[in-house]
Amino acid sequence: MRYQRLSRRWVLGGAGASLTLPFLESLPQAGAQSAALKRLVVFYVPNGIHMASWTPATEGPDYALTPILAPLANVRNKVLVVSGLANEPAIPDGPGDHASGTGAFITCAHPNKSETEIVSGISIDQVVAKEIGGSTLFPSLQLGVDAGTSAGGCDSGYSCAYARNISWADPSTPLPKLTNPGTVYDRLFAGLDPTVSAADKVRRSLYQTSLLDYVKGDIETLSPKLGQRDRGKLDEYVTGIRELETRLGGAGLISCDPIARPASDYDFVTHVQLMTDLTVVALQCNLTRVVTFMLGNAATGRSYDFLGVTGGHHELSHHQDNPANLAALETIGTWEVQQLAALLEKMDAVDEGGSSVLDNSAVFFSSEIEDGNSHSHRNMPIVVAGGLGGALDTGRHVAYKNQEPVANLLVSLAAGLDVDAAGFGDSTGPLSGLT
Amino acid sequence: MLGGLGVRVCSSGLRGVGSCWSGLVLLLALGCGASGSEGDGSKADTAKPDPDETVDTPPKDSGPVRTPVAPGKLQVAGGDPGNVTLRRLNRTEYANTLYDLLGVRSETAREFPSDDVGHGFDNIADVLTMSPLLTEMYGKAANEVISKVFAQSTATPQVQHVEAETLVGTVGAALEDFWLLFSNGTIEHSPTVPAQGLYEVRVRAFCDQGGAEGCEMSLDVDGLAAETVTVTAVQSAPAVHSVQVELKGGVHSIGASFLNDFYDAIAGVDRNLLVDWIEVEGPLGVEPGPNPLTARLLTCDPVTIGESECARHVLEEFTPRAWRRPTVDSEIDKLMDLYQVARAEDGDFLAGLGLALEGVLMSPHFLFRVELQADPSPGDIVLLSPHELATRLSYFLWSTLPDPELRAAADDSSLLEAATLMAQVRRMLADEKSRALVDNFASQWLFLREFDEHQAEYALFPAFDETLKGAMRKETELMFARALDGTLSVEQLLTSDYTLANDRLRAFYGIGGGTAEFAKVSLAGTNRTGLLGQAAIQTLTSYPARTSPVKRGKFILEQLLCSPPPPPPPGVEGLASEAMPTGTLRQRLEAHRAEPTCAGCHQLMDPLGFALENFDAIGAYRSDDSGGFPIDASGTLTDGTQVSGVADLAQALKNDPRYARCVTEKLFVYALGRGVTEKDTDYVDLLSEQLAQSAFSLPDLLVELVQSDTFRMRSSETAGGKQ
Repeated sequence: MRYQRLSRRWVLGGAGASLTLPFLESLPQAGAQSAALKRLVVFYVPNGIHMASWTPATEGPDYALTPILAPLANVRNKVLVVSGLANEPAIPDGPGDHASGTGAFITCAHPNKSETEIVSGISIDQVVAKEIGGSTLFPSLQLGVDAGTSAGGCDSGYSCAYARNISWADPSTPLPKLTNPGTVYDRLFAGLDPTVSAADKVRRSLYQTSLLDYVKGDIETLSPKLGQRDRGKLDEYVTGIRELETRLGGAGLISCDPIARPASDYDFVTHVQLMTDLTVVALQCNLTRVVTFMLGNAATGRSYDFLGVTGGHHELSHHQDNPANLAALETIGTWEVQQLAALLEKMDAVDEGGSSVLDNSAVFFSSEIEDGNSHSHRNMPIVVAGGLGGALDTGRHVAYKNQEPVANLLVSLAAGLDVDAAGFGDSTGPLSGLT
Repeated sequence: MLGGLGVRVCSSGLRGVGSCWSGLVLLLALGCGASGSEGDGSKADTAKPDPDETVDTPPKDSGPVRTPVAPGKLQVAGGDPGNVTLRRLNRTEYANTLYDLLGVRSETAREFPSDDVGHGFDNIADVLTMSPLLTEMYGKAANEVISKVFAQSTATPQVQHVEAETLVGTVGAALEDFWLLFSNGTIEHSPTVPAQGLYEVRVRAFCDQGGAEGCEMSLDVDGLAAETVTVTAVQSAPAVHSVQVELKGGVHSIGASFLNDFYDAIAGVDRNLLVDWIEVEGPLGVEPGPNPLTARLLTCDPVTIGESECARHVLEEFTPRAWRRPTVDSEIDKLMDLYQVARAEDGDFLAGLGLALEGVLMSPHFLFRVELQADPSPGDIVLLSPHELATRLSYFLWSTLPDPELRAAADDSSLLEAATLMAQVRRMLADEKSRALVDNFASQWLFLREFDEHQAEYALFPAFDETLKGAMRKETELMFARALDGTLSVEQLLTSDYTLANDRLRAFYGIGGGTAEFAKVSLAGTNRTGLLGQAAIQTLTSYPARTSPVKRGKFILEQLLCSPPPPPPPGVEGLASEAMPTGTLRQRLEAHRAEPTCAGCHQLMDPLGFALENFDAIGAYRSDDSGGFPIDASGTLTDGTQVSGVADLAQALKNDPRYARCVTEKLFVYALGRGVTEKDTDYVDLLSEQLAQSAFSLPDLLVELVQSDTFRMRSSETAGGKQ
C-alpha cells in the first residue's frame, strides 16, 4: 500500500502543507543513472515588477537580498540575479506592451501586431525541446493558472494568442497551456496506469498507430485541394500527429510511481502550488525536461486581496509612483517570488545522486515588462536559478551595463543544456559572465 | 473535372458579383451543379470511384437543376466575399458536435485549452491553431466518447466492499475483523467505479474512546475528506457512516482517516479508531440495462447481416453526419481498414467499429470545417456548396453541426434557393439550439464570459456572491435572447424600460414584489434603463475595487459603437487606484483630460462612462461615490449631446448610427470567423441599412446576413498565406 501513503501525502501537500522531503525521496531516482540530466523551466509572472524593491544594490556574491527577492534566502547560493538585460523585440508597435512583451517573452522575436496574423518566433524552450525532447515522453509541458476567458480584445490590437502563451513551436504556432491540475496529472500519468495489462498496452499502441496513419493519409489527400493558408492549418495538425507518434514509440522509456490525482477543489494559492508540484514530479520522473509556467496571463487584473492588497494587479501596476500602489506591488512581487522559491526548494529537495534536480536545471524567471508604469522592456527583472550541472556560477547578482539582449542569456542557458541556439531571436551570441 | 473544381462563378477579371449570376445559372444549366465540393450531392455513388479522384469528384447525381438564390438586395457591385481560412471547430463547437452526433458529453473536451481570441471572439479561423496538446486531447476525447457509446450497459449499480483488515493503513495494524488506527492515519483502498455518477461511500467503524470525546473520522475520497464525523459507537455495535459523492468513472481512493488521536500513558487514556469495512455503492439512481447510446448508433445487427456489412452500414450513416457532407466509397474503405485492424486484433466487432469511429472523429474532415479551394487561381469567386453553406449556417446559429432537416436541404441542394435558405434560418432561430448565439456570440460581445474570472473585492462588495453573479449574467442573457427572438429590437436592447429579474436581482435593484423565478419586471423608479443599466455590464467594466468610467467608456466605444479610442500615448498611464483626498474620481479624471495628450481620447471615453457613475463596481445604485462625494452623472458627448445618467446615454447611443452598424459588424465577424476588412465595408453598410429598415429586428438582420454574398460565397485564397 505504499502508493496510498504517497497519495495521501501528495494531496495533503496540495491542500496547503508543503511537499516533504521524505515523499520526494521515496520516488525512484529517475535521473540517478545519468547524473547530468539537465532541464529548463521558465516561470512567467505578469505585469512587471516593482524594481526598486527588486534590484540588489550591489553586484557579486555578497549582495543583500531585497524585499521582493527575500523569499529566495534558502536557495540564494543556487540563484543568479541578472540585471541590465533588454528584450528589445518585445517593444510593441504603439501600445500593447503586455501582449507584445508576453508574445516575445522567450521568443525574443517581434510579435506582429494583429488580431489574426499571429507571428512571433520559436521560443527558447521549444528550441531546446526539439533537441532534447525526444528522450522524454513529453518533449515539453506548458502550464499555467489562468485559462483566459474570451471577451473583447486582449491588448490594443494584439490577439489574445500573444497574451496567453509563451511557448511557440514555430513563429505562427503558440502552444496552449493546461491550467487544470487534474488534467495535467491525467496527461502525465495516463500511460502509467498500473491496472492496464501489458497486452492491452500493446494493443492500444497498435490502434493508436493505425489511427495516426489513417489521419496522416487523410491529411495528405485533403491538403492539395486547399489553399496555402488552409494547408498551414493542416500542417499544424500533422505536427501534432508526429509528436504523438514519437510518444507511442517512447512510451516504455520511463518507470515512475503514479501518485494520486490532485483534488479538483483549490483556491488560487493552492492552484499555483499544485502546478509547481506537478512541474517537479514531471521533471523528477523524467516525463519531460522542459516546462514553461505562467503565473497569470498578460496584464491580469487579478485581485490579491488574500494578501491584504486592494485593487486589481494590472490596475495597481500602473502605479504612478503612488506609495500605496508601490507597497501593494512589493507585496505581490514578494508573493510571486515566494512561489518561485517554493518551486526551487522542491526541485532542490530531489536528490539525484549527489546533486539535486535544481542543480541540474536552469529556471528562468521574469515578466513581460520591467515595470507596470513604464512598460519598459529594458532592465528586465530576471532570476536564473539552478546550476545546469555546474555550467552556471550561481549565488551572485550580475549586472550588465549595455542592455544586452535577453536572447543572449537564453542562448547561454540552451548551451548549458548542450543545445546550440545560435541565431535565436535577436541574440548576438552567448552572454558572458554567467560562469 | 469542371464539376470537380466547383462552380466557378466568375473570374477575377469579372468583378461585379451581379454579373456573376448569369455565369452561375449557365453552369448550372450545363449540369455542373452547385455541388462543387467533395462528395456533394445526395447519396454516395455506389460505383467505386478512382481513389485519386475521391475527394474532389462529386457524385454524379447532383439532383435537379435548381434556381439559385436571386441576385439579392445585398449585392455589392465589384464586391469580394472574402476568404475564410480553414476553421477548426473551437472547443464549444467540438463539444456540441460530439454531443449531437453521439448523445454523450466528453469530459476531455471540457478540459481543452482555451481557444485563443481575435477580434473579440474565439471562433476566428486564423487564430484557431492546432497544437500537439490539442491533437492529443482530440484523440483522448474520441476514445472517451466512443468507449462511452459502446460501454456494455449503462453502469450497473454495484457495491464494492472491502474488509479493513485485508488492507494496510498508513498506521496501525489488523486486529481481528478490524484495522486498528492507533494514531492519526488513513486506511483506504482503490476501487474502480464504472461510470460517472453519484456514489455512496460507507465506512463501518467504532471508537475505542479515550476520555469523553469520540473519534473524529473523515470519510476520504481521493485523499480529501468528503465528510468528517464523530464516531461514538462502541465495539459491540460499530456504526456505519456514509457520504454521497459525485465520481467520475475510473480508479478512486476511498477510505477513512483518524484525526484526533489521543494518548496519555500516565492517565492510561488512549483513543483509537477501529475500522471494520469500507464500501462504495453506485452509481445511484441509474437503471441497469442496454446502453441506449449503442442502440442509437448501431442501426444494424452484425449477427444477421454480417459484421463487415454492418460496420460499413454504420460508417456510411455516421461519417456523412460527422463530416457534414456525403462521403464517397473510398473514404469509407479507409475507415473499414481501421475496422479490420481492431477487429482482427481484438476479435471483437465493436472494437473494430470503435476504432473506425475514432478515425472519423480524428479526421480533418471532422475537426475542421472544410471548404474546398475550388480553383487554384486566386481571387475567383465561388458559391459555397450546399453542404458547406449548411455547415456555415449551422455553426453560426447553433454552434454545432446541421440537423437532419438542414442536411436534407443541402442534400437536395434546395438550400441554395432563397426561399429555402430563409425558411431554414427562421426555423433554426426558433429552435432552442439558437441559444448558442446567446452563449457564444452575446457572451463574448457583451463580456459575459468574463464573469468566470471577474473578481470584486469581498471586503468592499460582500454581496457579490455566486448567486448574484449568476443572476446578473442571466438577466443580460435573457434580454439578449428577447432581441434574438424579435421581442425587443436592437434599439430596445439599449432603451428597454423593463427587464427580466429573479428575486435576488430584484432585491439588488430595489424592486419589490414578483416571483422567485426570472420574470418581466418594470424598471420604473430604479434609475435603470436597458443594457447599460444592467448590473452585469456595469460590473464587468469595473475594477475589483472601484468603477472605471474610462473602462466603461471604452466598452461602449469598442463593443457598442465599434469606434475604439486611439490607445494612450506611451508613458501615459492609468489612474492611481487609491482614492486621493483631493477630489472625486471625476475631478481627477478631469485633471487628466486637461492634459493635451490625454484630452483627445478621454473626451471620447469619459463622458460615456460618467453617465454610469451612479452604479458602483458591482452595479449597485449609489448617489455618493466611495469617497462620499455626490455622483455627477452628467456630461457632454463629442457631438454636443448633453447626457445625464443611463437613460440619456441609452437614447444618445440608440440615435447614433454607429450602434446599429456595430451590432452588424460584430455579428458579421462572428458569423464568418474573420475580421472585417476594407472589402467588407460595403457589405456591412448594406446590412446595417437593412437593419434600420427592418425596425432594427435582430432576427431579420440574421436572415439578411446569411443571404449576403459574403456568407454564401468565398473568393479563392490570394497568394501568400500563412508563413
